Amino acid sequence: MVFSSVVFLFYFLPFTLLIYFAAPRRWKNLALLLISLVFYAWGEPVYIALLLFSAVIDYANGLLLDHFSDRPGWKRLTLIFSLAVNVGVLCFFKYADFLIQSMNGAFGTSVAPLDLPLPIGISFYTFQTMSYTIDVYRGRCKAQKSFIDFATFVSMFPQLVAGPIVRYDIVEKELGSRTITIEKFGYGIRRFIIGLAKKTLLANNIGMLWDLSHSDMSNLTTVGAWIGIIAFAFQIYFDFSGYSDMAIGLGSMFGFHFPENFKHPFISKSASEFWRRWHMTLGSWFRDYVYFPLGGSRVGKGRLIFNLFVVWFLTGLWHGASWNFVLWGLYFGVLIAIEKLFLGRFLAWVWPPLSHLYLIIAMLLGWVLFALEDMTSVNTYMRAMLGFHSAGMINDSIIYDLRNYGVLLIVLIISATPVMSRFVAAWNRRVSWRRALPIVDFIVMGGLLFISTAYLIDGTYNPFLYFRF
Amino acid sequence: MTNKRAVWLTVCFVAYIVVFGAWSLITPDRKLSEFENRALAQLPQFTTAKLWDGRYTSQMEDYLADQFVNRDMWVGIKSDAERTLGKTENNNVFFGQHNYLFERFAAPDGLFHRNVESIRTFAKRHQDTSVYMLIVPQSEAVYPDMLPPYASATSYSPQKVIDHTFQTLKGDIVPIPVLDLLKAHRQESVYFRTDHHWTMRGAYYGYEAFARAAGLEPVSLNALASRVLSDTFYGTYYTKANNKHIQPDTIELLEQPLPPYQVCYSDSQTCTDSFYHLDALKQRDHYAVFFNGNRAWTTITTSNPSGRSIAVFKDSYANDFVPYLAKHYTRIDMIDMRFFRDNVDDYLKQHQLQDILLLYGAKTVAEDDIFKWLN
Repeated sequence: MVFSSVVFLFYFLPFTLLIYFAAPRRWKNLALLLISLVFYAWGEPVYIALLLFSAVIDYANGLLLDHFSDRPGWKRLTLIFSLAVNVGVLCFFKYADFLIQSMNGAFGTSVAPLDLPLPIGISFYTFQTMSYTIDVYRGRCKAQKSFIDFATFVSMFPQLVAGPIVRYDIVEKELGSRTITIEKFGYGIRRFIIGLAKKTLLANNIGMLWDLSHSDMSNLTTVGAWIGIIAFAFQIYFDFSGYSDMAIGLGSMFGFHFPENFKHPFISKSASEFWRRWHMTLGSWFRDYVYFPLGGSRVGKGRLIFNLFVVWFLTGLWHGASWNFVLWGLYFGVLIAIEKLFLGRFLAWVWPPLSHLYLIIAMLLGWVLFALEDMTSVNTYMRAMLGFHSAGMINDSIIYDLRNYGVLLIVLIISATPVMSRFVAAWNRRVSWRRALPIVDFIVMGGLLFISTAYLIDGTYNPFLYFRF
Repeated sequence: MTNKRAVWLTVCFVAYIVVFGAWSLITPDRKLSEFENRALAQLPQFTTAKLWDGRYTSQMEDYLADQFVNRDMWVGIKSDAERTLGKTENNNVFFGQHNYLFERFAAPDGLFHRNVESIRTFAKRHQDTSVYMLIVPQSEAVYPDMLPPYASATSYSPQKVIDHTFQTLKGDIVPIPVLDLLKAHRQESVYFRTDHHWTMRGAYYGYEAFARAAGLEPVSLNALASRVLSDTFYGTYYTKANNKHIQPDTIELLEQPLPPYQVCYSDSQTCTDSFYHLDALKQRDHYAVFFNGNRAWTTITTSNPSGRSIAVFKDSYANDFVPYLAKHYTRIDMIDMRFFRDNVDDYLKQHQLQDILLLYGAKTVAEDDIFKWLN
């Protein structure tokens, strides 16, 4: 089930709220666990076993680590076992076919792929449970004694499907006891509506422009290619950050504080800054559990390059079992390495618009690698962007698209920058206007929810059912 | 967030999701949406197998969204929001000038070429008869200036489909070009604005061209009596665009004096004495006034003494065209390959049909996988 659907908003959510708030305090985690299992089973009844398996294994590992607290050898063995199981599960379900196909390609073998559907959210919950065992091993948090509480942490539905990656130490306290206030609930609603609007009104609509622009590669013009990839950048940002907003909002309704995941990434001035603002929970996961253990930046140049290579290879691979994602990760690794070596100082010194421009162009070229899964298309698309494609600079259909999506593009640019929050802050400073702000905000939220509903409902338009004649 | 704001937000939000959710559940389910002109999803049957592979839940999601309360209102709001954003289309239908709507036409793929080959095979088998072919372009070919600016660049040209088909089938069929004729008479509303069909007046020019090619003397337009059947017609483009600001269309009937004739429908085994089914004007789709929609086959017998007969392989574009043929033929059989599954040659032989006319919209020729049934 996705949050941006009629079934979630008008049926699942009301029932969830009813059950959760009717449950007495000590049963709230159990209520949330059962609700989350239903949520997961809605789309994936089979893989619920895998989710529970993952929860049981890491619950047991946590207890074992606790048990072996003064026997370092056994402790280490338990950690290795836990990591092996998590990485093993992830590899088997997410990467097995990728490995098989890469091997077939390299050695000319013909092993049949497994064709397993990808279990929803597996990349997120395995990373969360791994962070738990590592933190218990390091003594940063205590092992969770209650299975219900632990399983609630693993399966909690707001962040189960698409993050943010909520590490155990962040919610450890709130799992045990949390205060649910009307202020937090109201904040959660507001956050949820903003996320819903980002997904249904912005991401879905600009996604159509991206689909249009790369549907016919032979007629790809230079301007068309740039517009297309800009559309994709907006689509993926508003899709993903909208989903994170909805997750954070739902978490807040249930009394949790989830970490922020995006902080206006498009206004960055370097690739390093971009990754401190984009999918922040993933970046910090790799930093704390891979990059720092390898020695981080406080090492020789050769070792630094190696560390960056490992982290960015894995970051790329995490996004999907395909070589283009690996390339995409390494591309950012190279940019960040260059920035660390010398470019960063230059970018900090130069006239700011130039460093912004550098990041935007670098990011857009990166999205081409990310968005197009086969290398022939990537090649054609890049050539068109650089003006080496026969279709020319611009044609009438691009002008048509710009006329149709021009207003939306302006809305997207405004929404991707902190302009609106600065405007609200300025408004709030004017004492005489301050009183009107809550009312305006209330009307805007109501309007967004209403129009989002309309887009949710017409989004189901199914051309196959249409009887044409 | 202050306490007062939070209370307001909470109360209104929870009320919103509960009220609309519950209201949708208690309103009776609709079988189809007249506004969108399509069947709506119905409550899915529960089976364990369907639950297990995820089909049950996905059908359930379609059902809940399709049966949402005031669905037509929400669909209209979305269309209005798109227009407010400056978009000149919704669901691939362009909002043209002067209340004209057009549908984006995708570039044809391999199916188009297979269709043309199927027609060639069929025509070669019937070399002893005259096989006429008339392809009706979509209205954008006749009214390109009514499209939104630059929109034509994003849509494939129907004329290319027609030219390619006639070029490929040269010598196998007798082509009946109509585009220039329709363009010459474009001031006379030869197409509906809100529907993909040509009007009966547009079909007249098609008939005129066909009659000339078949060596018949066409009835003069002046000899036809004009009658307006409906001025509240909203066609298929309208139902896709969901744009409530478009003016309705007019359906005009052009009648010629005919001796009594009989129209018999294949599926219902019923016969009537008119091409026109006026009850259709009470439904949404007024175009069904012509022959009450589409059947596998329809047989028209007239008291015309000529003794000539014709088989018209057709889609719905023929429905307001065929009445003109009654003047010249004793027997007319309309065959719709979307529904007809018998052997075509047997049917032609059994009923001793002399002429053959293939009359299709360009979109059908390019996109419908039905011509394989000709062979």
